[in-house]
Amino acid sequence: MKRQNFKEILLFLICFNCFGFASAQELLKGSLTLKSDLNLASQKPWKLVVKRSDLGGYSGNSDTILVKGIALKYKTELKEPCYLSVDFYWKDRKFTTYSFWAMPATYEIGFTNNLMPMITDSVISQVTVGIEHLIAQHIKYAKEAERVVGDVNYENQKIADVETKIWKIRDSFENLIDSNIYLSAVNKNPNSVIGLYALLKFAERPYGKARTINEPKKIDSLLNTLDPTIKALPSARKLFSTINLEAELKVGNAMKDIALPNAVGKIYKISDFRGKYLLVDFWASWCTPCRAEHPNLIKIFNKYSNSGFQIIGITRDQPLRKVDWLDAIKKDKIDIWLQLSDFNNTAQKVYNVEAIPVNYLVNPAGIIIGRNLRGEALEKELKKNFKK
Amino acid sequence: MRISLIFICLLIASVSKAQFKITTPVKWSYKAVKSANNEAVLFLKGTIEDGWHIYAQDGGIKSLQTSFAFSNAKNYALIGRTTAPKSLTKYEKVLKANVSYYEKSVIFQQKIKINAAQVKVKGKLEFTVCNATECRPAEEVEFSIPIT
Repeated sequence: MKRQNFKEILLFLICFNCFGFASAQELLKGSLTLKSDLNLASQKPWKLVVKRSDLGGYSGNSDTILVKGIALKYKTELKEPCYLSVDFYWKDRKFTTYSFWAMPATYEIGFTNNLMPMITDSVISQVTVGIEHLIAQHIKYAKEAERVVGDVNYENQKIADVETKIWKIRDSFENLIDSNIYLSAVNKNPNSVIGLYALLKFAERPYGKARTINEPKKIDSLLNTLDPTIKALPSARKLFSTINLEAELKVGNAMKDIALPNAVGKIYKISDFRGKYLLVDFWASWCTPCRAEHPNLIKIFNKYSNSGFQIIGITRDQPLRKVDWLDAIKKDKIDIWLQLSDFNNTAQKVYNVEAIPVNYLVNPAGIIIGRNLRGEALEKELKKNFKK
Repeated sequence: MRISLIFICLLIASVSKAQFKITTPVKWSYKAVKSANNEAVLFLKGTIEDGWHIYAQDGGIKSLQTSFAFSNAKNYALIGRTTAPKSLTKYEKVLKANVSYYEKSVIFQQKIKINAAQVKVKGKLEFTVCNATECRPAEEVEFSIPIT
């Protein structure tokens, strides 16, 4: 009798822990398991697609599972929490989907009457709750911003004035979102993935002027306030290497030197051009927006090259397409300045070249004084410097 | 409290896609449909964000073309080449060439012959995506498509 009681108590304790709350220090990496008892759905799905994005929102893997039997099980290894989408495909209706922030844990998936998937059982995660809270807050502020914008009076106003007003409102709300939601969450959660998530958001904002590019030192110092276990996560490491690269490439720093060949193999170095104002321009023969800039660059080059302005074009064309590169130089008449190739992707790595066109304006001392200056902005900056 | 947060999440996913940054403005999804005679058709669908476009397999500029490479395997064989719907064409005066491209979404198809019961078609696709102001470098995406 005593032994049976003991067994029951033990069983009770085990079961209680199965459906309990996550402890303060949740597991951040490990197995993620999705389970589903398909008897609970009014139909059987024939396919499940699981898509994963990481903490920074970068889309990653996609797994397709063909459903066999009534007990669905999907297992994968996570190095950090992720954003998961489960798409269920049905024989006679459109696919249904559900997305959620997932920890390395087990999730039981059930279905509504309408075959919409939902989580019916899982450990309640403080990390998930925290991230969802930040998202909800962001939405609240965004909705409020649109409400205020909607109230702006157009009557008897110049369109330009109304637009300025609207931009001011939008900007001020974006600032509030940054400080009240994300920055605040980083400060309050240095030991949690919630803090990392908030920092990733803070770092990629504001739209078009990411802090990873414009304020890398600030992001770096915020990153250093996070707990070492959080800093070791893949998304944190990715942020760290991005800002280090970007920090080195920002206005005010020395332009990193590299050596690249021209069309006939002669090697040139960026530092060969000390003493001149230099525009290092990354482009490619197939990049329409890049080539659309060339007429303007030719105009500027012709105007300032005698006063000590040079341009170096570095192509992202691949070695097999060298002919296209040379053809483009001829067609666009840009053989008037130095054209170098990057067939070994050296420059791509050193300058973290992703999207093109991208350019750097370097002063005679080798310091970056401008980045991505195009059209009028480039002309303005040169005028400023050549006045001296 | 938790349920309402979940519904808010669903709302976010549909309303504010822009909040979640994606490295590329193109999302790929895959499907296989069996047909008679131990054949199947693979569907590879690209969903492209507004303002961006990807390029046809054989339109103008080689570096821009979307391409598909299927891994060699004994349990299936390709029938013909990967087909695509009619693309949009415009004359790019900057490139002094016609470019063929797709916007919003495009489904590429590949017919295959199946030689075994359980087949998974693996391969990779490569594409370049541009909008009016920039081009993102050629991206390689690996896929693995199971066939029932």
